[in-house]
Amino acid sequence: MSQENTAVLTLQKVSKSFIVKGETLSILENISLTLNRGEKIAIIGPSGSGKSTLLSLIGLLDKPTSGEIFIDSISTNFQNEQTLAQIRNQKIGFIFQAFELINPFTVRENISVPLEIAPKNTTKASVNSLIQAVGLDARSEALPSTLSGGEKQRVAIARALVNDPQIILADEPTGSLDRETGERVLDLLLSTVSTQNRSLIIITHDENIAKKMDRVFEIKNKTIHERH
Amino acid sequence: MNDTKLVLEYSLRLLRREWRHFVLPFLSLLITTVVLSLILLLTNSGSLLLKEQARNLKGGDVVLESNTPIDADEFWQTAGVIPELQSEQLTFTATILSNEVPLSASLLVVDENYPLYGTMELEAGQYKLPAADEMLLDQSGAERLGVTVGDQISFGEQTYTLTNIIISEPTSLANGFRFLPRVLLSQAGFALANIDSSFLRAEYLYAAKIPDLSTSNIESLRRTEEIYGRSVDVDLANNSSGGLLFGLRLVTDFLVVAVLITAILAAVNVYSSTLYLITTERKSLAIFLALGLRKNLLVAILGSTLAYTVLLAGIIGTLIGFFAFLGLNQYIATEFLINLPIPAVAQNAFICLTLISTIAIASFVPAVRKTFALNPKQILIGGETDNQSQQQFTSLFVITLSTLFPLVILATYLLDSLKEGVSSIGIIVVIYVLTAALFALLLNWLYQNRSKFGTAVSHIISQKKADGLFGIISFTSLLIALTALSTLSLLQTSLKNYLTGDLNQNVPTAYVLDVQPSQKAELENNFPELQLFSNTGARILQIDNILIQDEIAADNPNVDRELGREFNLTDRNELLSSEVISSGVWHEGRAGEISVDEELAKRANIKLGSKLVFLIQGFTVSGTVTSLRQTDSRSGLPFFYFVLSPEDIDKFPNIYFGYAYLDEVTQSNLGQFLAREMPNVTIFETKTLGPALISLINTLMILILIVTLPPLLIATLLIATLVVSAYGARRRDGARLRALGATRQSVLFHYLAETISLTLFASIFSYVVSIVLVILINQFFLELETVILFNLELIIGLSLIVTLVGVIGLFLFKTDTMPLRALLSYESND
Repeated sequence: MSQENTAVLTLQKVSKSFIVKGETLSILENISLTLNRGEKIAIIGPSGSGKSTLLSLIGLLDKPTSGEIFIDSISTNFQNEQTLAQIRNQKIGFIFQAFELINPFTVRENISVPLEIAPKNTTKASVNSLIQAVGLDARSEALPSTLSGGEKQRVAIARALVNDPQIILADEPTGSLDRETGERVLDLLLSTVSTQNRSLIIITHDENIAKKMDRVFEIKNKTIHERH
Repeated sequence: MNDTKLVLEYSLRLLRREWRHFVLPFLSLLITTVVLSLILLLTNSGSLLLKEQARNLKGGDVVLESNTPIDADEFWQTAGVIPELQSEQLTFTATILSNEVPLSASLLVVDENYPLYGTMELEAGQYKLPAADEMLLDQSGAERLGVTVGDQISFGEQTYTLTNIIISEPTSLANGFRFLPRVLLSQAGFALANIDSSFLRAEYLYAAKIPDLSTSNIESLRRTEEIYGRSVDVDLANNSSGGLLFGLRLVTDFLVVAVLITAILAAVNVYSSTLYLITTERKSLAIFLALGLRKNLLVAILGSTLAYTVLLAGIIGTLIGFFAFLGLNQYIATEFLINLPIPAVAQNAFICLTLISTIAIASFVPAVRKTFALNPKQILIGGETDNQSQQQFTSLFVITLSTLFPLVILATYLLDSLKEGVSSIGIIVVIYVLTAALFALLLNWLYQNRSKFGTAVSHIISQKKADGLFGIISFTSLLIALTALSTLSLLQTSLKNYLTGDLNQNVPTAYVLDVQPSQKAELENNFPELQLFSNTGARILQIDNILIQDEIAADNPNVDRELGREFNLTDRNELLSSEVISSGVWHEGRAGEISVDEELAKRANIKLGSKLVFLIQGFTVSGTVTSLRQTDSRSGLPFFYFVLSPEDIDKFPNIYFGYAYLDEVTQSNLGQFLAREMPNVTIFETKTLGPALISLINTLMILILIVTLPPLLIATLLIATLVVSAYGARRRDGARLRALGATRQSVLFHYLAETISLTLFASIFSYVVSIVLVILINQFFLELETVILFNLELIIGLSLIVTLVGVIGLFLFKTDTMPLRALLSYESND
């Protein structure tokens, strides 16, 4: 593990609440967190504790009610929609529990989407080498509907890595897979992230997965605590 | 990759790979375009045909009528409407003479441009303007005078040679029933007669050819008519309130209604198809956002994908519509011998494509809204965005306005008036929004009280509630489609009844004229079917304290000039079945009481209690108005403005005329009886008129039928689209129920119960709403009184639609082979 103590992500006193039928419903309060380059952390917590909400805030899919989020030391709070989309595309890679592949696109096309969305001068990894890395070279022209669950998640991993993002966000990446496939997919994810020196935030219920991370955080009573 | 390339590549890829999702919207759009294109072509063609018929019947696009000669050129210039061609005519009643036999005849003096439209049918050869010493006479006149071609006929100081016999004039169907034989002279010929026309009770006609008469032209003509006061009447070929011309206008108006209803169906169809596409593609779209695609690019990708579908369907549909029109035209020409004119094809194609594209663009507005409201966090945490119900109503408002905007443009084009276009579509908007709001409120109430219903009903209510905006739109669309269909069907029945019943059957088979009082009783005894009316010529001297003839002579603008003419008075004790007393009490023959036609009473300012004084053959007769009657001037039956007591006018010399509905044998007996016993009485058989009339009515009925069929097709298609898209939303719910232990049969039953019950409810509701609509349309637009409330054909049609919905649902369910495991998969499986 090569860990440079350079923060790629910083959350400062981030809170999130929703207004439901006129009443304020607080989900997260004063969350502070730092993710360093090459670091892998797990966020655990019971269902409904706000794990996915936190991930959507980190992934810039939602905005905090208060507090500030920095990516590569740049505040994201007052950025417009276009800049946020650009940051998502270039600095963040998503892996979803339900894979969320684009059904009409082939394996290769799915993996290429972040590259194609990116402006011209973005550094591009080789799609072919990623396809090989996730072991799907024989299925590169297949449509998602013909893939198994494990294969789909491997496509999702390749798609998350293709643009050389600093941060990989994975929401229960093995939640839809059987144990054996899940383990293989997780190993692939962790080895790829380590090899390429990326930072990883993984949301999981699985203590075994959490143990494989550098640090583990638990969300409890709307706040986050690091387990030691 | 640059933005344009990305949009092009992704949109084409979506279309190529997800073509199954586009099949239904594509087919739906294609058929919509075919139907719209076909109905536009048919309607335009039908309107051209009807206009042609109306011109022929009227003798011009615009006819100025006056009792004194006018400078017609000055009139046209004042109105700013310059005719392509004009024909001046003079018509009056006079006596002609041949071999010492006198004959009262209706003379028509024409110029070289006569007739502007239609053809004059002669016994031999083609019509040409008679020379100065020539005269044309119709068959009845020739028989009564006992003359043939080449004989001499005198009129005034001139003797003319009869050069041909008139079989029919172009205007013979529309001019009602002229009882006197027709004589046709040229202007030069009339001059030779050396008759001072100021002594004649003549009517001067200035028929003009103005084929492209716009609404502003009509308004300008009406304004000029007002400037000329009561000296000129402007008669428009397509704007007549009586008889056949009214029938033609009615059918033209019906075609406009049919196109509008089809366009509404098309709009709802395009909208539903678009919404279906967006709903099915929504989750894929959210992923793009999570991967960093900007929302405007996403809208562009979605828009491009839709644009390919709309353009392809639009172009192919317009072409198919055009060829279908050509085929139909050929079929109608072969089978029914009706030659439909070919309308402006390019213009129709442009309107059709523009309309479909505009509706698609308008339908795309909610898609854009949805896309911009799309938040990729839903992928992570699920659920909808905040303030969903408020957004739904805002969406409903925006969708309704944007989808109906192109309809306003079409309605304005068809009705030739922005005001009418806006108001007609405005009414539809109000109905649509009210229906949607009513359904949303009803659903909300049902949802809150669902525990009071059984499990199955409660589940249906919950599902409908969960459908949210799409559910409201789908149901409202279904209602609108069914209401449109029911309205059209009910209107068609009303029109059919009017054309084949009121108009056709009311024309008597024979009229008898010039029956002397001494002959009346004998004629009635032999032919009790005859309805005879006394006829006494009279002028109105006084209405209350106003001396009418003096005021007209003094050009008092408050006195209707029509009151200056001679009226035919009749007397009888009984009210006819075709008459209704609108105010006052029928006099039942009481002396001194008068019954007046309601419309004339309005124009002449005659009220109940008004005292009228008539001048009859040098004597005055007075009476008090005790009733106002509604009469049907469109029926083809003789009607009288004034009905008096027999006691008041029986003493004056009068003649009788009447009509009868007789079978062929009785009619022949009547002819023979009159020839033998009463040679002075003329029988006028409408047999010669019959075939032309029936042929015209058949033309109209065929037009109505072929124009009604396409909306039926499109409405059925729309309903099928809705059922299919509803099934897409239900299959996963069904899978969940099965996972919880429900059998496949019970899920099927549940799905069918939901679909059929809603369609059934929509059918009943739409039937009721359409009755209200038909009453309003008949009253304010078509001015038809016949309203059919029970229409068996429509009820059977609606029942078939309910069955069809059930069959489609059953088919979808039975052919869905996706295994339960796949249906319940975590992934999207659209």
